[in-house]
Amino acid sequence: MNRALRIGVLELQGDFYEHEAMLQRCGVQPVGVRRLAHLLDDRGEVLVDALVIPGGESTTIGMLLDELGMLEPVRQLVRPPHALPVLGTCAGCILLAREVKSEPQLKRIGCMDIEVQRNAYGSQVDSFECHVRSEQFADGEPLRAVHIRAPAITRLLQPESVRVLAAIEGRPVIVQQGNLLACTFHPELTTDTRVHQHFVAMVRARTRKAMPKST
Amino acid sequence: MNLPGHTFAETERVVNGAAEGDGIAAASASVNGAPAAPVVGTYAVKVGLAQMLKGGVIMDVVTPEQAQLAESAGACAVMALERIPADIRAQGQVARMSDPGLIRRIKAAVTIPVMAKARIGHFVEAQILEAVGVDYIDESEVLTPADDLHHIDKHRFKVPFVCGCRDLGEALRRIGEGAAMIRTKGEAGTGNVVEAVRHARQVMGEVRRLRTLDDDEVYTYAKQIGASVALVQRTKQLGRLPVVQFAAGGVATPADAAMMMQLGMDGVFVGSGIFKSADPAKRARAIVKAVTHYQDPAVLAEVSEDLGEAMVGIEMDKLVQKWAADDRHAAQ
Repeated sequence: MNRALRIGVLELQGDFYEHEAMLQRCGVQPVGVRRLAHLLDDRGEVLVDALVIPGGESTTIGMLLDELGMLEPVRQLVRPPHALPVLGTCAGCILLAREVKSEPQLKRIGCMDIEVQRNAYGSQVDSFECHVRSEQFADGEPLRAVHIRAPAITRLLQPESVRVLAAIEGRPVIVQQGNLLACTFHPELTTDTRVHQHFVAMVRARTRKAMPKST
Repeated sequence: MNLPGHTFAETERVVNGAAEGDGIAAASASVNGAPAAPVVGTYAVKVGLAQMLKGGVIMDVVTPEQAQLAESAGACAVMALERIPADIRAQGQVARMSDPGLIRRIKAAVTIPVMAKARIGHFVEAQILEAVGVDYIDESEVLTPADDLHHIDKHRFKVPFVCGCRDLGEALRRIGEGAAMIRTKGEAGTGNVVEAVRHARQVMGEVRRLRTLDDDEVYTYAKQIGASVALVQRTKQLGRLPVVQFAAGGVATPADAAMMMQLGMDGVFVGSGIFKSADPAKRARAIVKAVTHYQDPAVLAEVSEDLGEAMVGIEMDKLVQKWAADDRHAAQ
């Protein structure tokens, strides 16, 4: 049976409604996550098939995750064996990164083997848009990459398991490691659904595997 | 209601008459299929930063130490000032743009966006703030106006602007001039939320009434409120302002902040309310949590406990000078 996917969107701060609109365009009904009870029920059952961490301020979202007692439980879900699929854009990418250049104290999930540098391109006046071509998203136009005070992925800490799906001048901008997908720009601010569709496909593939022939 | 993520960026079409669709296509056409060169300062990038600030709290700070305290309390941005509005009120002098040196020191102290205020109409102060590299400019009635007739032509800048408003017409005029974000004026430096509530209700109420108008009636309505027909039509179609809208001016408690969110604001500026209170770190944290959980009275009760003295509020009829309704920039 093809049960409807439940993709949680972290609604602590940032552009979470934009991600929810994008998921709706991909045919998925999003679930808002503002507290731990939206992720896990009393018996510890996981209530979502995946999680989206939106753009916003990574310090704000990280502080709220910590103070709401969600940081460690989310970390546990993201790690094997559960390996919850997560999409992080911009701030979400930073919160996924194992290393953050010169800011080791930044509160984050830190499960993805990448090193990032915050505000790598400078201040807002340096924020930019450009086209990105990649083999992964080769069909149609290049991706429109809206970078806003964006981070850069400066190093792959496990090059053999982290796949670069798109890069600008050799700098990775979309990377995938297992069920984790991180993007330094904001596909949710455009009309292009391809990055989200890719994520939804990842989630479907995993959900199908996890739920063997119950029908 | 989840508007698509490109909704605010598409407001550019009615503000600038830009081509539909991919905003960067016009600015830098791709050559022989090669990737288009990066373009800075596009409308999508300007409104995009405001979108990233949503659900957050922007705090007024006057020193690098206060900026760090705000950042660690979860502020999504800081407003770098020489004096907070409550002190500007107390001193009653001409208030200008902050010292660029102070802004640089605050920028160096934090990683979150740093905003700064320019006087209304003072386009050179704005040029200086852009050169310093602030992330947003607040063209603000809290400073003494530099031009009693005109606001800054904000289209000329790469840095985005936020402007105050008291009603829908004023908000749409500022957007027409290029503001990428709107806030209520409220009455800064008073610790009294009544004016912010008035301005938020005014804008939201006008949008609700606009939605009931017949399309034929929109033209005369646009003339009455002094806004462009295209922006009025877009507001009617979206059922909200066509850019991000924050509350500002008099927010002092977690309950104030949550109330502004329940009234439909996308986020909150807190000025004097934090550093004029007894325990700024605790209050800052509480207001950040209140904005995230604005619909959850149990959380609001919890974060409101034992915050110590709030800033001393000022009753509106005791207020000598109302900045929001200042005659010196009433012409707009």
